[in-house]
Amino acid sequence: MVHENSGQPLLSVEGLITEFRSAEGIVRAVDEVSYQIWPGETLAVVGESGSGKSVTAMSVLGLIPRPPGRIAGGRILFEGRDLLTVTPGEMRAIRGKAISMIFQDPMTSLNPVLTVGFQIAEAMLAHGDMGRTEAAERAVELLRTVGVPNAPERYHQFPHQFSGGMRQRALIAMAIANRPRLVIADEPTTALDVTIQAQVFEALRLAQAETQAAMVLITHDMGLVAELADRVVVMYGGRVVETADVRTLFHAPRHPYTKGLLASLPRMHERSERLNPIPGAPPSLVNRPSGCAFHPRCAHSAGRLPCRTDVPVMREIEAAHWSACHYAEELRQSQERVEA
Amino acid sequence: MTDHGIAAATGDREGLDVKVRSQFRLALGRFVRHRVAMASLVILAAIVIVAFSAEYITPYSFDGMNLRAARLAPTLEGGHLFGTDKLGRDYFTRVLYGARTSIFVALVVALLSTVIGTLIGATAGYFGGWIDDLFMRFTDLVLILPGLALLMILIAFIGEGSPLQIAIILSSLMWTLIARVVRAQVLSMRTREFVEAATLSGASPWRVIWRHMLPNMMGPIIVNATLTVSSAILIESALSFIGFGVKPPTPALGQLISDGRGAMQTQWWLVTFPGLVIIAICLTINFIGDGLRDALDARQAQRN
Amino acid sequence: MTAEARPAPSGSPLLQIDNLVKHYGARGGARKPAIRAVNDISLTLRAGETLGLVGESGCGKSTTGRCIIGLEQPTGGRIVFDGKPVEHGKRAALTAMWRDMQYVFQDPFASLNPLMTVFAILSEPLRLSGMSVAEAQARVAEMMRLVGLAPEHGNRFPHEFSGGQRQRIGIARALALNPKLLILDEPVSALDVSIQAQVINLLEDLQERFGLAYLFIAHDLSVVSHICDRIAVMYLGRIVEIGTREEIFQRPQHPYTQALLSAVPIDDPDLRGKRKRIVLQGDPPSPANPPSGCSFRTRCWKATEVCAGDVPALEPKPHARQAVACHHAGVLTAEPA
Repeated sequence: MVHENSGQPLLSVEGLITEFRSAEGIVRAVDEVSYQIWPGETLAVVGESGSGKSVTAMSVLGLIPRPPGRIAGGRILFEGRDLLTVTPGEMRAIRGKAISMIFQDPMTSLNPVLTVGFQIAEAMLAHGDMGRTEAAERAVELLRTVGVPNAPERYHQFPHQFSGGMRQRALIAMAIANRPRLVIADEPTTALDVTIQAQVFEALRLAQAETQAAMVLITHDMGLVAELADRVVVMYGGRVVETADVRTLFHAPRHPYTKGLLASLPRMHERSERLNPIPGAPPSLVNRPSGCAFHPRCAHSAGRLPCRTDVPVMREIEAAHWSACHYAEELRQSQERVEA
Repeated sequence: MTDHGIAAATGDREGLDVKVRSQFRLALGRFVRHRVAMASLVILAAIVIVAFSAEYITPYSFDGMNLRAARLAPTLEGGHLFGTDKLGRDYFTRVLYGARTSIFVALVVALLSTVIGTLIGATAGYFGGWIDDLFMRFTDLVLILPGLALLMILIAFIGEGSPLQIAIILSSLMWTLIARVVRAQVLSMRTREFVEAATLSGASPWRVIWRHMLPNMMGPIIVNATLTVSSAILIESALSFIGFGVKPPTPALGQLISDGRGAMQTQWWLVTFPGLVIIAICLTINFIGDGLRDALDARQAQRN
Repeated sequence: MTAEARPAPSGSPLLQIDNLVKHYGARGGARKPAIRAVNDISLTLRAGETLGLVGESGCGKSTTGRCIIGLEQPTGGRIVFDGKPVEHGKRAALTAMWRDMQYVFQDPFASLNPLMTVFAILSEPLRLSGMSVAEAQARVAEMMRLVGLAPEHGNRFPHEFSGGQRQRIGIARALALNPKLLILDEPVSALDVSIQAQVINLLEDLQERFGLAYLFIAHDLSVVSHICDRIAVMYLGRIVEIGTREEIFQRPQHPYTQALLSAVPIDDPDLRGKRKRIVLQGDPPSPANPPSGCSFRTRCWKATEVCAGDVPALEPKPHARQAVACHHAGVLTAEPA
């Protein structure tokens, strides 16, 4: 689905800063992160350990435990309202209705002593606008929508009677029950088998088609991004390093980390001698490198001074394509040389 | 492209520039922050030091009679801080020596029963099968036995023994809790990857238990050993109260209480001070145990 | 050095597995065991070769690996390593075997004793095999350099290293006594994506240098396609297809293999919608109660009555060289329902 991203974004994260107090000092897990998502689009937020992608989402949902965490700066505008200024009660009303979430581990997200159907219905009853019977019927409908076979029977079953993939689909059903405008899915397919992932992809696609909700897909799995995303935000070391639409990102990345990440993935249908890993390891946020967080691992930097001292600013390299690299232009030139 | 040498391919330029505080230091920090535990540690240390240096603190011996100073209430005159008993013996001294006996017995019991319990629990947990069944049924048997009665019989058998003998007898019945705890830990550790890896490296079962498993379960062991000290004090005091404790004239706190029971109305200090010392020792040990559990549990839970 | 130039393995197989069976939960004399984790597996592996064992959770691939190395005792079947049968009951025999066959664990955090220094961890197998302290020190330094770690860091503890580095320590430990075969149980699954490639490259380099054979257990087909010469696909305790990398990836014959391959996410957004994905219906059956006959038939679009009868034998079919266990094996032509 290609979107014309015009008008107001549904969600706008602006300069978000989230910190945690730890034994080693204050850790800035999210360091002035900004991104937007428009109605109906699927935005993938990609990153590895320590990138801050999950913490950003938790901050949006108001789920950062304080202490030891705190939001130290920025704004989170949802439909014009700054979520950082709403009361906990208002946040609760928004969470689960206008914004819903799907987490990684379906086992711990479902109450083992209640039937799955009841839990889905309850999600709707909690936000008040329908009666019990109606909620139950809609729950069965939702299970059907996400591809659970024998939905009426399954309604009365308990989580342990569902397989891993089905549990995840039940959670997806729960997440769309109240017709949210935004769904945040945090690693929805990690830890699932490949054939089950396929089922869950389908379920996510169907869910989005049904509700036209915008979806933030937080993942490290580039395959999932290639399958579902419209636009991609790449995070590294607590900051955003690149933002682009999905095709541009895969074919013409303009940040050395994105480039390195895509190049390091083993591709099933390519026969290559050696893989091309990114040397080194993702930074510990306690000891984040000065300047650009990626510079110690960056071949493109070649040790140049600005990379080591100045934090690069996000710049619009081309239309709707942003990169936080001091030398992003050189990447474009070398790419064009290759294509020429 | 650069040298395809193996080291270059993996290029670890980050190295180890993150200095993470060792887990031991973190646990120590947590313990120190537990105020009640720290206060108890200080108090207990004071009691232990005083009890074990009784010779230097008081001029009196524990059985030095002085009939002219008999039945005195606590007074600063003559330095009888805890008063005297019916034979004029300085009570402060007697309580100190009594505390020494009790602490000695309790420490030995904790040590011995930890060793016995660990051996039995680790063997049962590691080898499983009929060995496990055998050892655990034996443990159950010991648990079922009426402890106090059995202790009384054993002690009567040896005719009221020295503190060491009492300690050994107590240990023979008090290892069961540790055995169960260690067994449970060993069972859960058996399938931990680093334990399996040790086996694959050629480690014998004993080496696996000693070098790999036990160090990683020190938390629960220490906590339980601490609790055992506390139980031992109480049991030893109970036994000496009913006359089955250490052989007189070695003083024991329970025995002091028993002796002073008859005169509770008139010479309140005879029962009160030994009792307070028992309570103090038990409470402080329990609080220290709490602090240790808090400090060490987080360490066990945090595996990296 | 290209893949084709890698020395061709030759001679009798290094590892031969015949009809391996592992059941859990059978209580003395019970006719029907509780869980059939491994249900008649036969494999061979030659020196210097990499055999991939792929499948999803519950298929028995990890259990197979553990039975081979001796961490589990098989219920039935025969495993012959380097000409000698593996004697599971005898610790002395196993310890001797572990000098030539070793194991790399999946979880880099759990596979190293948190209270031992890296030096202690790596020198343990050396010292236990009789090496002196001085010799062990030299060898540990060598091992660390081999896997890309600085020997000066030997006196640090595992928690001071990153996940990728810890996995390299695990690999170094496995190589301590110069084994001939390494069983790797999902060695990169728990690592960050950008680190996986580093470790895979390392494994390939080590293989080239030391002529190691690998049994590579994994669920990630992209990784498997890169490093493995031959691949065995497992489903519910059985091998359903086994062949060379080309045969499996270019011309899969078994419906499960086809479904598995089609389920791998695309790596280019331009392919969206272009590739027909087979979405298997239903759930994987429980290993405690497998379907009769072919265990895949409950989710298979080609299933017919004959599939409920005999368990299909794993054998080469006339139109393909690899061995397939399917009554209806064939290249994917018709669109599955």
